[in-house]
Amino acid sequence: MRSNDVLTLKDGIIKVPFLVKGKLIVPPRIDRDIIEKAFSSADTGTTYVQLTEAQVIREPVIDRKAMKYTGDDIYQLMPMFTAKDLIETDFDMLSNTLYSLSVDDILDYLDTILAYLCKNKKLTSQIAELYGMTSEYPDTLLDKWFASMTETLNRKNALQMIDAELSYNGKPGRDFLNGWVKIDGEMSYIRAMPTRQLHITAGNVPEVPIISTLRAVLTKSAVVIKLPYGAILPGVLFAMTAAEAAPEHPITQNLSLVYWQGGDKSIENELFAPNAFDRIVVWGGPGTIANVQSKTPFTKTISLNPRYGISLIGKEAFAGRLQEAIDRALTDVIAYNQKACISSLVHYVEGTEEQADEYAKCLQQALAKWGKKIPSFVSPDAVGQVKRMKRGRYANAKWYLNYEGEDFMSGAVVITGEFDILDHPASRLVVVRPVTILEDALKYVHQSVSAVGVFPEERREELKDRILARGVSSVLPLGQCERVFAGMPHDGMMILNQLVDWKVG
Amino acid sequence: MEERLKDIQNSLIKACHCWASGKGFDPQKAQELRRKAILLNHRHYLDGLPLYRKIARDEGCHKDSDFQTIKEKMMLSTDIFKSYEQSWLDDNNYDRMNEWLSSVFHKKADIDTAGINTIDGWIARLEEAGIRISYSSGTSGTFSFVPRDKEDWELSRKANIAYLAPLLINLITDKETGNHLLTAFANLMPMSGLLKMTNKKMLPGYDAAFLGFKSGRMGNQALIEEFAPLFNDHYCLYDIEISGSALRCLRRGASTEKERKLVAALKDKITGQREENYLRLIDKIEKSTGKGQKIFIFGAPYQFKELCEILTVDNRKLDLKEKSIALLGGGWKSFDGEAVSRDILVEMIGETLNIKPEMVLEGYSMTETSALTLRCSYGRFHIPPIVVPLIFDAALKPIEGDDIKGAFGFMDALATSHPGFLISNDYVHMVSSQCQCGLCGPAILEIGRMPGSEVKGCGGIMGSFSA
Repeated sequence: MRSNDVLTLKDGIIKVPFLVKGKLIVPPRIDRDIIEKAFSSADTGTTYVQLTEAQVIREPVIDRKAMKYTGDDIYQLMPMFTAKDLIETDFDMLSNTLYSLSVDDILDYLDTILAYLCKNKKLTSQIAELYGMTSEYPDTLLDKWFASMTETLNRKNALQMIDAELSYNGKPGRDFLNGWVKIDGEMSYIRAMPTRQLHITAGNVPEVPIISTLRAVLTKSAVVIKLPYGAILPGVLFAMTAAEAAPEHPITQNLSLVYWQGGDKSIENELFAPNAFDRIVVWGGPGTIANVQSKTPFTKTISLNPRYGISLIGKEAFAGRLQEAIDRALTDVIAYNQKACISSLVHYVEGTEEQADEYAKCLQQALAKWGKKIPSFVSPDAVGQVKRMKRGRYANAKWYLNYEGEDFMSGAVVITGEFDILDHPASRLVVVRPVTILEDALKYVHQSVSAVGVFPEERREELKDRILARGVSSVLPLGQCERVFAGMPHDGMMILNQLVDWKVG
Repeated sequence: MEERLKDIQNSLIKACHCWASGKGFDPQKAQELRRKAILLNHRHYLDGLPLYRKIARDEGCHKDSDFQTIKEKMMLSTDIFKSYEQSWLDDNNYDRMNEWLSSVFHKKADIDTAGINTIDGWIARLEEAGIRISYSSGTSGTFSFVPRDKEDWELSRKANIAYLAPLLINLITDKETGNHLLTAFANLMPMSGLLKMTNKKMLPGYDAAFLGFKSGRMGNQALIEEFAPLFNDHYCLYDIEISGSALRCLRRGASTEKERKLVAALKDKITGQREENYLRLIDKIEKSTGKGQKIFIFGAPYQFKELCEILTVDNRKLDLKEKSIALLGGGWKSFDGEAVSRDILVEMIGETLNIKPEMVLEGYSMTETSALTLRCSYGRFHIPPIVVPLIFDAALKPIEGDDIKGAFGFMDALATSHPGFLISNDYVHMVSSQCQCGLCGPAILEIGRMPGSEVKGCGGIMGSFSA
């Protein structure tokens, strides 16, 4: 059982345990003044320091009502480990234990995890409360997310993922994960063999480390999950549950959920070395992706690149359907406060500049209304970026912004010229681009666009294939870009299919 | 008002000279002069710069706004010089570019655009009309065009010489032979005399090697043209002009056969003939040294690294005469983002060029400011009194203090023809205290990106895209 002082806030410090191959490791007790001294000797904006016996992340506390920084910080105190602790080289052990599990064994494992979570709601609420103290997301979204864990990890969804993503030749995926399957009309057999996986996850959305962990579990992987800055605690929830609910299970015994600072050579040189892992999955910002790709030329890497969403609004909106279009568009904008890859950042509006203005004004009002209902945290960086845009490159644009005092909260801006997507603050700001015909927007559609929401439906049908041909992953009705289902493709891939080794024997 | 402003600006230039030479500088008086100039410039911008006026209206500022209000609400992003539409350049629509330029320049840029079909043609025509454009190119190929009239340009040049000459004098004066004339020139000559001298070869004992192009208007390149006349002789790494059109095509991609040829020729010169260019420059440096000349070398750190590496590979060393100078400028990353270590580079320069560490200087400037700052031997980039340096937090609110970090902004008292209240994309550590080198006032210790958290997110952007 865990010690009493982990995952509780004491003197502004949370002791965060990691799971290393099934064993919980806990950081030593370190006084706050030592931690503060370490941060005070580093740069002002430093969020991470490494002490002799522990590593520490600093995160600013957010007042949940005002959704503003309180001025206080919380320190997450985390244990140290070495790369060697994480890498598995005993292939015979893997072959005889983890890789031999049946799909039913995996599903039973998930049942055990879920049952434990349901029975020990205190653990979830304890972690949710701690996570909420520094999370930029509104409480309603966090509550919804923690509640949805039962959905994410349930048996039915898990089986659907396996069957859909590992399906071959008309047979469900479970057959191939369970063992050899004879190919109809051939002498050969085929099998989906597990792999050793390293997942480097991103913290923009709290689900990411859990989704990565689930994918590894479903493919019976000896896995290391690198938890992300900004979402370490959601990952630790799984780590704690696995260690306490099924400590001896081969899945737990081969599961590691840890954090190290990205770029730490003492860890990454070994983890990225040839033959340390069979698969590397990397989510994250451009720096992370480029760093991992450059250092892992000999390991199959699955990159879930940073992408963004856009919306296409047909002229039909101005034929008495503007409010309908706005209501739908808002849903895609507020998805994860514009932080997720499906969140819509730019709206191409078919019409005149005046119509684009009208659209932007209505969207501004809708965002203001939503902001009153569910106040959102707007980071100082986003506030600063909006100022830079208004007093800089986009000074000539038409701005329709909502403010709280002097601080930007949300809004829309009509830009007639090209917009550099790197300038987007991704914080409830919609860039509205008028286009004469909707097809004109196609030149701005490319592989970095993840999802496109189109209004109305007939225009979506008309443009769908042309948009998808340009590298977009999904073209959905406006307002439905957040839609997910078990076994769906991700960034144009069936991820489980990428995570196993297809063997012929 | 214009006369009054010019008087104040000239007084500030004199104050710069006093500050740098350590004789009779009154910080209080300089601050008063700067603030007066800034308030006058604010009114001037309101009258003459439409875009500044629009922003002032949005921010609730007016002609009587005080210094603090201007600092909080009227600091513009340096990207204001990118606030034109790319399609105007794509379509060779230089009438629209004129209109835009007039919104950030204090006079109407109504030059005849007939026959202009390149950026360079537009810039040349503007120059004929007395509007001088400097530009910088971002990685996305979106140029910042900073317009200045001749008076602003001249003021800036005078100011730089007024404070750089005394700062450099101790370094370049040969105490044994005693270059008394030069010392007297910088320390004793009245300001009026000093400024009259600026068009002459002030450094006849030096030949200059510029690690850049023969001419051009971008970044370091603009400085090369300013520095070159000061030396006995000068030569460049690339004996061609770098054109704005070629640079833009290089960044954004060529769309016509002519553009493709332009890019191919530039690439061939920069990368294909890279080694030959360096070797030719090295030969010229050796000839100058053979004639007894000291050498002044100016370039970006990565270019110095290339120069040293080529010498090392060729198993050669340049035995430059004592008091030769290396001036680094333009950031510590190469084009491919690889960081260059200062200590290692200084060592390499010492070993291969025989330039002592104290003669390796570093400059910090940007296209949008009048001031070039030099890093002193104690590691500080001292900011001359013509500029009010400001630091901003992430939300772009000004921060006060003697030891602060954040986004670097500045109010340039000499910028009359374009908006001079600007926030850059540089994040710096600024201190305000007496330096051991003898200079006082604000100085920058470090320049770089804001230290901070790891990049979050799969929802994000892989690179620059037009949207």
